[in-house]
Amino acid sequence: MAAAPRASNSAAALAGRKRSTRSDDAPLTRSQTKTKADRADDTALAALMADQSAVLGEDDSSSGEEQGSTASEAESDDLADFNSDPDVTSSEDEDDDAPEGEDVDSGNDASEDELNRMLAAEDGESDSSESYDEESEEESSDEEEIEPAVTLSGLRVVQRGRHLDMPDTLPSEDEDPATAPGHSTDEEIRQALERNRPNIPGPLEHVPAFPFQQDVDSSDEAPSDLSDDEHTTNPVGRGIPSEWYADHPHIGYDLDGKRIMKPLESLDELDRFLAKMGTDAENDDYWRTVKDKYGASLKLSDEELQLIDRIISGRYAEQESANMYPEMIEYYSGKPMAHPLPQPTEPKRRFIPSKWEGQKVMKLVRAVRMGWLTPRAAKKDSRPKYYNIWAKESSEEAPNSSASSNYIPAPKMRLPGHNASYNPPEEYLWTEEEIREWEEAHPEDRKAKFIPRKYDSLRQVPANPQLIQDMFERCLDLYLCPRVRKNRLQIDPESLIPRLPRPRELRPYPTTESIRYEGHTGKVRSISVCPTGEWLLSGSDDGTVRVFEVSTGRCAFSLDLGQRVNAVAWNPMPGTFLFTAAADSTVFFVAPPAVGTLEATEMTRSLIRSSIEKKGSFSAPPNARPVHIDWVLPSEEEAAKSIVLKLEHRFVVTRLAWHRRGDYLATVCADGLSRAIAIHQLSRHMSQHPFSRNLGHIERVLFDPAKPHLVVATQKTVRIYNLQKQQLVKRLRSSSNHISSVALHPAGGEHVLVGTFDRRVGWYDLELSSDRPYRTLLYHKYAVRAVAYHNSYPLFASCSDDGTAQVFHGRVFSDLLQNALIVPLKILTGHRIVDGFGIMDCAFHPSRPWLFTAGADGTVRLFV
Amino acid sequence: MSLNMSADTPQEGQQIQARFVAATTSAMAAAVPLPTIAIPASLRRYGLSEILNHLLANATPRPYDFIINGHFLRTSIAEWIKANDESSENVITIEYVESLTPPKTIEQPDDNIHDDWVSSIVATPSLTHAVSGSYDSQLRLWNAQGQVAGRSSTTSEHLPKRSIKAITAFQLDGLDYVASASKDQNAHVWSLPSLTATSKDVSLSPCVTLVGDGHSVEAITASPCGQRIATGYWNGAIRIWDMLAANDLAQVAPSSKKRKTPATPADRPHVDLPHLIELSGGHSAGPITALHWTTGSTGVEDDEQYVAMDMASGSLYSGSWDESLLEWNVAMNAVTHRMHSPYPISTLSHSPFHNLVATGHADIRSIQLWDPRIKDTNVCQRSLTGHTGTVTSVSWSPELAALGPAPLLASASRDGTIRIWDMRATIPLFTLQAHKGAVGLAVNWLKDTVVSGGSDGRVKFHTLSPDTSA
Repeated sequence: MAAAPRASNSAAALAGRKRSTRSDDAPLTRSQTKTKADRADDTALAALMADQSAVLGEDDSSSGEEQGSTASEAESDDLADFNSDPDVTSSEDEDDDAPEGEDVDSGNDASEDELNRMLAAEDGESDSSESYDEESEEESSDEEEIEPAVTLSGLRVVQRGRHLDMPDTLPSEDEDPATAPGHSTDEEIRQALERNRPNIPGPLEHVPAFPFQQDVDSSDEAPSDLSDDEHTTNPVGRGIPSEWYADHPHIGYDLDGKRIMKPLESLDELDRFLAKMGTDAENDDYWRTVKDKYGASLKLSDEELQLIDRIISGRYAEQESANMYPEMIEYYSGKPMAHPLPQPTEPKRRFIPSKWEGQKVMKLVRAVRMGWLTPRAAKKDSRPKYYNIWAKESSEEAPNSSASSNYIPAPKMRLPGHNASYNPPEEYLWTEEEIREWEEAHPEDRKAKFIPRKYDSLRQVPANPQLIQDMFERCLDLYLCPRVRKNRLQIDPESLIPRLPRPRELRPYPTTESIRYEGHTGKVRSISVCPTGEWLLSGSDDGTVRVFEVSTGRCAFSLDLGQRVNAVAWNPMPGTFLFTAAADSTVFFVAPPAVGTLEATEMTRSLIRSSIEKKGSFSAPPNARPVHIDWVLPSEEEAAKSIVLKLEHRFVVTRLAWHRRGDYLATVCADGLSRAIAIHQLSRHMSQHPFSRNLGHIERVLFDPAKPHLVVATQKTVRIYNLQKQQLVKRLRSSSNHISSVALHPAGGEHVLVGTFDRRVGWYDLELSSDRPYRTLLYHKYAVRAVAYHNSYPLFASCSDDGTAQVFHGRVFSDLLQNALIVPLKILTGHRIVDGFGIMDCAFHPSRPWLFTAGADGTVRLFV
Repeated sequence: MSLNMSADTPQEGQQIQARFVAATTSAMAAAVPLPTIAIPASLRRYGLSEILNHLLANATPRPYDFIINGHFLRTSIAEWIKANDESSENVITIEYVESLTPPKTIEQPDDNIHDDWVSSIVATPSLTHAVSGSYDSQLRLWNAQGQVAGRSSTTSEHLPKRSIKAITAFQLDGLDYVASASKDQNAHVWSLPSLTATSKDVSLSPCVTLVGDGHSVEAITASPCGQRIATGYWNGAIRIWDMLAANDLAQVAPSSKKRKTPATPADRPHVDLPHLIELSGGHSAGPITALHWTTGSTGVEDDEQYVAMDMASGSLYSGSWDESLLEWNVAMNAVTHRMHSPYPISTLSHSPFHNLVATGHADIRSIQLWDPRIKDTNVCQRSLTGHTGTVTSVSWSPELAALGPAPLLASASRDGTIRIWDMRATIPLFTLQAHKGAVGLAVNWLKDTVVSGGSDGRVKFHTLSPDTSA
């Protein structure tokens, strides 16, 4: 092995200079440089193989580490031999001992340094590509100093040329490192030329463009590659100086032992002289013609001359205009590019064989060799050699596996029975009667498709006239057979019903009749509970208005208005004792003096007195619509009946609604068209019609308990108006044709109950965008007359002409996520149905969970 | 096991061993002890009474009531044994008491009828007369025979302006007073003249007006000592009034010529009295529907300073529609016990003997009995069911020997009946159809007589004493 001498050689030759490493690893380097870039990997692989083979071959090797190092070196040599490139070897050797190297000694200068630096840069590239083989090298710092800014292909060209032809100038450089710049010799120039010209021996046409110019690309490689085989490979063996062949016509021998001839000398002495004299006009290039070391004449191009000029004048060999430091091409920049990156620079490591992979492979190979690693036992083929081809069908029909559960076998035809035989037994043959019956029946109703017939022999059987039809039906059977088995969901219908709390858990709510408020002789149309819950007001068809004590049922006050009382309403102003009753077209303000506490009576009296005094002090706004409603003071007779004020309308007043402050009263005249709704202000004795157009048949109006909203229920819709902004806030549509009543939830008025004459009660949630009810409750048998919310308990009730009032739990959640919970609680019965009228009105006690119902039987009942 | 069961279960016509014992508090306790005898198990009250009359050798047979283990026997002995899981082989000790005769309603002429519903009835402290208040804002004085002994004055300008909702009676400085609560926001104190059984046409007029502020007075009661009056209002307020201050005011009133306490109520000048204190921290809302101030034991020891201030002692019970039943120590203006009824309370009465508060409710028809000594429970001790309408008034009887060892409870209901309850029985002792077709609104005791009033305007006297029936 040549490892030891080469190592010493490298130590000696190389003092921080990498050029000497070339001689160390010459075979490998050469082989690699000789091969194309594509072949670099192959080389590495070959090296790997050699390495392994070396390791495996040396059975007596002790440690893996040692083996690795020795093997890599052995491998290098082996590889060189394996590649068997004698030309390279010889040329390298020739380089090593090139006579030109001695000449260089005399002329060391800056330009040479420069050149060397450039070379070093190139070597850095090349060496780093070979770093797999050079594990412990000293030149790593030099290598990384300069990164050549040229393409890889260009670099390789350079490397190859240099390796082939470069004279070894190192010793001289080492000896005179401080030689003055600015001085150059022909030899130096020639070296430079040779370094920069890869294919010196070849024809000039094959010389690639100046390698440092970036427009050199791989298209030039192919011819240079050819020239490798033809000219540049010097097979002369190592250690044979070229001057030995100076006097010979050949320069060495090839593998076959044939001479490699020197290039032909085309000119004789005379011609050379003439050329030197420049007599020939065409041939005055003598001055720029040099000879290479093989004796071939070489004509320097203009660029090369310029290069020489620059070197002579002490400038950079490279053209100054050429960009030594080209702009960095930011392949990977933050700027978005218009086009995708076609060929991004491949990283260097792509081309480097992995050392660790190599070691791993080595280990594996070794393990295989040593028998530690054995191939996996072949998987036993569990499939049977023979199949029961029918087995699959039976397994598919079995509904065991999940895959086969979806399999639906094609509908099978019934197998023919004895009756289908051409010669059936006698008992299968039909009687005449059966045949007649069969023929008379509709084809779809026939119990059999054919009549069994008896033939003496099979050949007497006629053709089946129904054959086409049967085949078609069979096709239909197959075609219309369901492809997918529909899985019926196993859902308990009970579980789909929402789980509602039990009514028992939702106590308290009215359950039983407690007190009957008697005295009316006609239908009680309307009731109202005073805000303190102490008194109950009722208006009846018998023309009377009565005030009952809630706790006992005693009628404390009765007033005969003479006409049917359509509506009654307490004034909700606290501390007063005043109520209104609408009979015919008049609204009566009644303040009974003998009921209610002394203070309340006094307050009511002063309220009415002040309102009468203020009457003239306010004038209606000028653009207001004319109002045909009169505030009338009662007559003596009426005043004796404790009527304090009257509101004379033009139409029959059907509904009353107080604002919660007790100053505004809304009245509805159902026939009033555009003047159906009027709002009266008690303190100023003023009336106005808030709507200028006819909204339709108005059923109810309500003031919102919290907001300045007015709820107007017509026959089909419920509209909510903002009175301050004078705009429509919401319109709720009912599914029915006739709304009978409407109620507002006390907490913010975000929920509206609407009762209709077609038995339904709709719960509307204003927070939902829909104008349809959130829930529709259809429990009553007849028309719903009234609906009511409780003030504080989560209760609401509806009463109907079927004589029942129904109580519901209606809980409203404030978190906006849950919808209202509605639970039917109780059906309250007891009222007698009179002339088809059951319960006309219902109202909750303001503080207790009690429900008052006004029946057509003339009683008002309290359910507790 | 089955043998035992069959042996234990009394069969038809089976004899059981029984021993009759006179009830300890009965007057017959000194009678000779009776031997243990075998009696048929199918016997009821009537049969037992026959046997007992025979044993005691009474000349005239008397009805008896029988008590086993502290409860009235209302079934046959066999059924009782079965219901109580007793053994028929043991000797059963049966206490016997002479049963109360059914109350006799005193017939009254029709001109005694009130013009309006009778709202409340109370017996005068001297227990000679009863006073009824009516929704027509009138008071009427009745003697024990059910005759009208007096009416509200027609001339006084201080009469209540609205219905009278509740009345109470108290004695102060030897004089009888009646206080009435009116829906006109004021309460009135009427002084009663010294009454005899024969006094007639007494004119009643209020001497003190307890001025309210806009809410009707729903309940009124006087302290046992008579020095304080408590009124309950619709808005949930309870106010305490100082009658001593009223008397002082009356003495310095300008109309009074004499400086000493007026001997007759007629000379007494009328005064308007502001309230002493308003009890706070009690009921959250709702009308105070029932108040009762008794000599019951308070949970808090009377502090010396309050005793020194001569504040009223005893416990004030208040019931409201807000479903709470409170026991107050008025001297400390503090709630000493809070009982939560699930139903709004419409009436209540406290018995110092049992220390039980009986309440009638606006939602349910049963009478609930509460023990204020049990501090840690809100559950009623007992419930008396039987009325078919809500109970409007309850009243404990005075402790009289004629009525038995323990007070009885009388209740009036909206079903028009008056029921009398003994705590030893689960069903009422008597059910009186006092106000047929009307609503019973008031009941109270005048000694051994139950006085009831209803929406028919009648005040009826039902006497329980066997002597008067004779």
